[in-house]
Amino acid sequence: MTDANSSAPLFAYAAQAERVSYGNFHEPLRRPRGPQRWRLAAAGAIFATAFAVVAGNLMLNAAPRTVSPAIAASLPEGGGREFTPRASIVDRNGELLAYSLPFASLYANPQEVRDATAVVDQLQQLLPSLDRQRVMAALANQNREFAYLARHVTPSQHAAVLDLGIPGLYFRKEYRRIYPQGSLTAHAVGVVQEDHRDGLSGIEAFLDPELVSAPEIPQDLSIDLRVQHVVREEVQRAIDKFDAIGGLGVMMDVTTGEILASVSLPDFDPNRLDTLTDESRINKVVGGRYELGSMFKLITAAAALDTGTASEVTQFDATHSLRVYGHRIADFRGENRWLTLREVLVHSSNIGAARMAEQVGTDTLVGYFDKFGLLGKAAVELNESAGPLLPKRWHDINAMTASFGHGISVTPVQFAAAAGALVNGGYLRRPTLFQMPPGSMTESARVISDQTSARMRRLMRAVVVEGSGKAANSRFYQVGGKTGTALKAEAGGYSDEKRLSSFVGAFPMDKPRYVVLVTVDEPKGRKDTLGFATGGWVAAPAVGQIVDRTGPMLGIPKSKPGADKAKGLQTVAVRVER
Amino acid sequence: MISRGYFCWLVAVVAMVLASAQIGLKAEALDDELRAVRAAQEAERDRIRVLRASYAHLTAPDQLWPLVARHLELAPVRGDQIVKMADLPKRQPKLRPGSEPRISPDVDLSPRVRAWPHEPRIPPSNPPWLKADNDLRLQPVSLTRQNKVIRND
Repeated sequence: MTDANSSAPLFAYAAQAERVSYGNFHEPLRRPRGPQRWRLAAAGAIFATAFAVVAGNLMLNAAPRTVSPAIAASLPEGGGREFTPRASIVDRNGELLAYSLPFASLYANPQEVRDATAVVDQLQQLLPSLDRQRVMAALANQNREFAYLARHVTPSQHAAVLDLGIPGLYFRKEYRRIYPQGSLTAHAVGVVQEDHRDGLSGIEAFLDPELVSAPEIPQDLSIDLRVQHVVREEVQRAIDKFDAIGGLGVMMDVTTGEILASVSLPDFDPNRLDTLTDESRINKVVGGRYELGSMFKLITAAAALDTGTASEVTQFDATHSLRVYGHRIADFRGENRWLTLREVLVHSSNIGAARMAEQVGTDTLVGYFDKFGLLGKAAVELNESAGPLLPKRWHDINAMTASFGHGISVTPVQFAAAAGALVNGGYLRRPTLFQMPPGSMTESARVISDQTSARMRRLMRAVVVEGSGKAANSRFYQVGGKTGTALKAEAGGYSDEKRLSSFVGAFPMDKPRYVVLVTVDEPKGRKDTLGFATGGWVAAPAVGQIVDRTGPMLGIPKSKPGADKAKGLQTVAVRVER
Repeated sequence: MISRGYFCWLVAVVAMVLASAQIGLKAEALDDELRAVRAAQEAERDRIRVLRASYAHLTAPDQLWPLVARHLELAPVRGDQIVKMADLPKRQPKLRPGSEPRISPDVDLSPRVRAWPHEPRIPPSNPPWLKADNDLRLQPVSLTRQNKVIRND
């Protein structure tokens, strides 16, 4: 009993001790109060944060690790555009014109390179163009961790340097712009800076943001590489034959406004910017402003016909030279008789054109120049596109000389577009270097009536059939056009010997589709041309060859005999009106 | 003593930690694999880029034309070689030698032929490569294309 009584407090203590030590797990927990409650909340928050971190890491690990091109492009110096390709530029048939290629660039961490002299000696055997002094200076700078040694090495050089196993040398992949067609499309496509950064000229400069932001979308140009090749070859041939200093050629689709060929000579190799000279830098087609001479008579004649001032048989007095405000206007080879409007074009009479301008009126003629887009900048997609050089004020004498292409300088692409409007039914199309979707065309505006356009086609055909442009005739296609020979302006007047010889032609004249303009700069006369170096001798044969060679490429069937008669293009007997 | 509920929570937490660690490792392995595939893809793309540029350079007109002039006897197409389909003359179909129609001697077609009020003609709906003989039987004829005879029968 005593034992039993004495053990009772012991159990009571044990039970109490158990409650104190371990707590009673079978009883419901009491709601924590005061500081205990805050401690629990803090512990919960810590655990929740830890789990969130784990979950976040999990998601980050599972997600792909890439840097978007936009971010890469916006990286500062040393981490930008050279690491992402630019969009390729292709011609209308998908031929590559400009492309970004990956190259390996060799760089060093100067702090890791032990014997700089030995390293440079070894590298120079593999990379002959290595600038020894520059590389030695770069490796000597121990404060830097990065120094370029050679940019864009070849794959074999890359492999050979890797084989050397020199510590402290590294490679990184960089893009470089290459132009597989070489100088063929140098001016139209343009170039980028050597480190693959900003576009400097041509489409490369105009489309710079698009080429960088959407590298996977190739940009289709309207250029046809085959046509471009032919135009360049024929212009170069004319330059060589007449010992000229340069030339240009442009071919445009008059139904859509697309430029199929744009050649400016001399040109340069865009893969080697060291070949660039002051003369070859200029894109003469859009950036050169020239007095194109008698080709302007076409615009004057169109204005006269469209306003009803004259018809094809209206006659103008060209019996003697014209004196206006102290200036003398004469013909190159005067007919010294009254000439019809048609004969004014066929014989390229300056006097006749000036008389025509006089009858049309200065304001009206200048209005037509404006309608044909010759008084503003051609809206072609090149930053180097230039505006015309015009008289400060349009006096009568200015309009009279401009009527035969003197005293007004325009870009060749402007005039090609205007010539297109003369033959395509009277619509001036904006020239473009981008391929248009099938069935579409650039913005256009009617500048002359359809009837005037038909008359102009007839007159242009007459110039080639019986006038100064006979050499432009093709074996297979009916060509129409107009010659132009202008003396070059020099300080204090015009040169007596330096001239610009041009021809603008359209084909096939029964349904004109293309306009070709060729200009040769400072051609010299030859024995076989009787000492002449005018547009009819120099540029017209080049246009004829271009038409002959490009027509089949473009799928133009041979003009049928008599097609000109069917379309009213035949040369008609002139009825004299006095 | 640890209650059953707390034990379950503990096991669940450990299991979750292990599972998340395993997922993390798997993701890392997949990430490595993906990077390797992407690197291989990029290398392949670079090779294709180089090949495309080389092809464009080698087939550039400035490269090709002198070679064609030197090594081939080909000339550019002339304007008179471009014709429209409408300008092509209609081809006269010809029978191949030995492919004359075999008519069974038992079949007498003469009454039917005599019954025709006019000279039998080729029905306009016939395709051009079929020719009707006097008995109005359509005969397959050979077509010659690129020096290769295509037989219809």
